Amino acid sequence: MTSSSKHKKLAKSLLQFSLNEEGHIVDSKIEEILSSLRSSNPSGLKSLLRFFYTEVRRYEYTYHAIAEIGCKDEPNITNSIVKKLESAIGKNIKLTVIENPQIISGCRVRLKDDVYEDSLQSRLQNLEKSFH
Amino acid sequence: MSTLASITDTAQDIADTFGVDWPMLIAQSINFLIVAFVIWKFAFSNVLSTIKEREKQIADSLKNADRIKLELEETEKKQQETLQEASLSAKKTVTDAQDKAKAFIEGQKDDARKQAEEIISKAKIAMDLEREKVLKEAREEIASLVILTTTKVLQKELSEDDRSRFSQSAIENLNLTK
Repeated sequence: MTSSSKHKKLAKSLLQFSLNEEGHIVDSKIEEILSSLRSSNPSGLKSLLRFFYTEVRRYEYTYHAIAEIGCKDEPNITNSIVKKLESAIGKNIKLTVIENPQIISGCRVRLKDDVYEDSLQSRLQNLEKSFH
Repeated sequence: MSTLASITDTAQDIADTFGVDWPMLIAQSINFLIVAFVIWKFAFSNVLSTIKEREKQIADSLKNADRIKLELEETEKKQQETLQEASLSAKKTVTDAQDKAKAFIEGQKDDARKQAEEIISKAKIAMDLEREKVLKEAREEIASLVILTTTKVLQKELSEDDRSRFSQSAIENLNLTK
């Protein structure tokens, strides 16, 4: 086994270690892992950190949704989005809600490579496209 | 017999009156005959033959002249005919050339007319396309302006409650299936 494949495997294990019960990445655990790596300073640390970073980003990408809404964030809105997403993909979701006045009203949700949108801005854009 | 004697006497009287010398007369007659014979033999016959020859030549020439005159008339006649034919042929050529020129001009006119019609129809098509293009651009421009205005109005006029209600409704209607 080459060193890069060993580091990949190790990075995956470190990722598993940094998850909580809900399957979400915990920031404190990440901090812990990084400090221990710094102190132990194993060979190929740079490569290992690069793989770890890639794994973390990739994993977070799969369950971390970003929702843009056109109004002030309210708990019922956040809960609705989370419920909808979790029922659709079947796992726990971490949601970040951003207020975006550009979309006027409605919401735009990004999860992995998918974007789900129903906003006034998108409707007006579709209407404009229909004239072309 | 007496008549005969009287005649002989009369003749003698006349001879005496005019002084006729019979031996001289006979001798002169014989000389005359000899000279006449010599002249006729050596000169006259040559002259006569020459004259005859000349006459023959003249007759031949006259005959030739007649023949030449006939031939000349024939030639003139043929020349006239040839000239007439040439004149007819030239007239025909000119007429043909005129007809061809007319036909060519008509053909050119038709071509020019067709080209003009083609140009006009192409220009019409180009104008129609241009109009369509302008209308399309105007439509798009107007649509963009309307959308922009609508966006600005909505951004300004929509209340927070309205936004919140719409957002909630949008979330409920969000289709998360692929």
